[in-house]
Amino acid sequence: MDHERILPYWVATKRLGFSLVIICFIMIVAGLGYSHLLDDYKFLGFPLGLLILGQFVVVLCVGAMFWFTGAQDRIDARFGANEDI
Amino acid sequence: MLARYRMINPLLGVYYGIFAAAYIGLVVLLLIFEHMGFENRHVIYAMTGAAFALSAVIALAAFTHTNEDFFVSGRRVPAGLNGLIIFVVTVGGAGLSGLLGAVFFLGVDGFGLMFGVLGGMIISGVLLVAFTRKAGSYTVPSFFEIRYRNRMVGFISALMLMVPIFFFALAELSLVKVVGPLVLGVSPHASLLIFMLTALLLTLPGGVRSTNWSQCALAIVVLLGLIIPLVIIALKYTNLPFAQMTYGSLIEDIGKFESLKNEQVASASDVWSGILRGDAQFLHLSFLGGEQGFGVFEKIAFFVVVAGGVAGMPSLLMRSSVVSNVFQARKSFAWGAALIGLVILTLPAYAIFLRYMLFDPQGKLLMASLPGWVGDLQSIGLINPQDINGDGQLGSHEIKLSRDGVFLGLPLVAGLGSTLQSLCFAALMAAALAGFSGRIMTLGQLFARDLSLHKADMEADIVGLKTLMWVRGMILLVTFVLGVVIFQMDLDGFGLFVAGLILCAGSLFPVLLLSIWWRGMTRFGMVAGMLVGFVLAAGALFMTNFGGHAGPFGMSLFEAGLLSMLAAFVFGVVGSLAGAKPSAVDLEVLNEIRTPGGEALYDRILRLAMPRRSIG
Repeated sequence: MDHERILPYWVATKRLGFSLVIICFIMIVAGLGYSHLLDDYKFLGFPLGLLILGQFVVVLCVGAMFWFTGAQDRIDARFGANEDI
Repeated sequence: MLARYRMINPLLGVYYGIFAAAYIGLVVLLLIFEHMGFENRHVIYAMTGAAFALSAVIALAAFTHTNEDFFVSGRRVPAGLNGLIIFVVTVGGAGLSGLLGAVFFLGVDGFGLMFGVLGGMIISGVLLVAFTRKAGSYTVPSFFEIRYRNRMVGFISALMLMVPIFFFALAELSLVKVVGPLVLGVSPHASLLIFMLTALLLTLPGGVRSTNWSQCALAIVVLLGLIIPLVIIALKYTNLPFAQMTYGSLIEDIGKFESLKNEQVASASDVWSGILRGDAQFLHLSFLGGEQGFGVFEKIAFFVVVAGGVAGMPSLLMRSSVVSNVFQARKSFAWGAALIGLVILTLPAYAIFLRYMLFDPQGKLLMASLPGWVGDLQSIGLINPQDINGDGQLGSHEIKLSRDGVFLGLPLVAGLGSTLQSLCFAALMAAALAGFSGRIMTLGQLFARDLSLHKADMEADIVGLKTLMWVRGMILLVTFVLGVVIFQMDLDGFGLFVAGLILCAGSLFPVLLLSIWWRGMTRFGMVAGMLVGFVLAAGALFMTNFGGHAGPFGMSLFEAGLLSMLAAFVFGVVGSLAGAKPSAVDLEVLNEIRTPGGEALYDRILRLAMPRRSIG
């Protein structure tokens, strides 16, 4: 990888990685701290707060991880950083 | 692109498919034998024995005498199978049983622990493993050694990391010491001996190569044991096999008996202390939480510290070294997160169904006509029912349940028969075996490579015969020491697991994150941050008696753990700013680590060492 491309590559990598971690953390922390406020409402047989915390947040976080692997790989390819020996 | 994927055996998926089919076939066969009058104990022996024996055969078949195979499985493990291993090594038996116990007793208040594991997996997969893979080191201390080009940094970090890994390994042994005799009907020492000998069989022949392929098989056993009984129970109670999606409909019924509890209601902190000590306890808290539950800050502290602990777990971080490239390392952790996600969906279902079945929906069991499972669970010490108020009935506040009994109790309470009970037991033991074999492998490497005085010789020993003998000797030694400790002391498995997480969160995670993401980090800052974090985390553990009571300034264990993480960050930064700036070569190494393409740095070190040896 060329030296002049390291900095823009690192900026893109940092932006993607930390954005994803922060979004996942906000979802989890909000769910853990405040989802019980929605438990009076029912959806699909579940108290809504439990459904959001115990199901939706999990699926979103796992989905985000798989999306991240693809997105980061595209960044690697864009900056020529993905060749392997 | 040609070399992007190393030669991976394309039939691996088929092999493990055959293994899963064979194991399910065994379950069906034992169900038939059970109906023909086969003794319960023999069914348990057959199921657990098959899981242990098949994994040992796989490990023996993976024998190797080359360094690269022994330490990183030839860097040829596919991402999906590595995800399976990541899942089973992260939680292990003690973690799985303890997490389920926490969710059962604490309800939603215990979710912070499960989400901490998922959060740790996300942090590792996104922010750490791509770089540990590019460094290519076989252990975490070696990563620091490469990053800071200093032997002493690796040595100091190895000294500190040794402690949490010992805790994780002891946690698995403690679980076996408690649960093994209850179910197998043998002495604690006999069950420990069988367990440790099997773990050595899984580790010694091919090192990481053997543990890898056997852990894949064990992970399949764990998943089958976790899912199959729950599917059957869900079919029985909700007419649908997807327990994870249907347990919500039972919460209203559970609320009825939860509202019948008498005044003996403990706070979530008391229940949590009981869980950490492994005490049998009453079901005090409503599943959806309430006034006695944790505050928002406590829940977040739980989550953050466990996430930091999982992200800084050495056995987990080094899973990145066994795959062919950085992309595969990231993908492995995505698969690991997917399986942890499945566990997060499953454990609440497990807890809800058990709460639902354990107590009559009307809230009481008549003492005169107690169902058979009460006697069954009581006979193996997993519950303790007492008619405290003498009304001739058992309410939820009159049955004490053991934390480890939650995992094994579900099939018993549901009356699923000895084969499905054995399936659960084998799953728990398989998780413990996978976790323990991974830990002793990590400890063996740590002692042989990072705490050894002959590291330079080892790096030049490309054929690896001397090195491998040395590491195998160290694995034997650490297993012996662990055995001596566990034979002498009665410890609680989940308490040790949590202690290990807190130490990893305080000592390793902050400095590892800074070492990768901050160019200004120096070796002095790294050592300062790690030392301070380690000392504070260890202090928090001792001052709270491993979570048993309030710590300094009334802080809980997790709040103190959070403080140790913050202190490690601060001292890492201040220590780096106080000393000399990183040299140009240090920054060049960091740039190399941050660039996914190209040869792994440790492979380069070994390649450069090779001609020297062959010429000499």
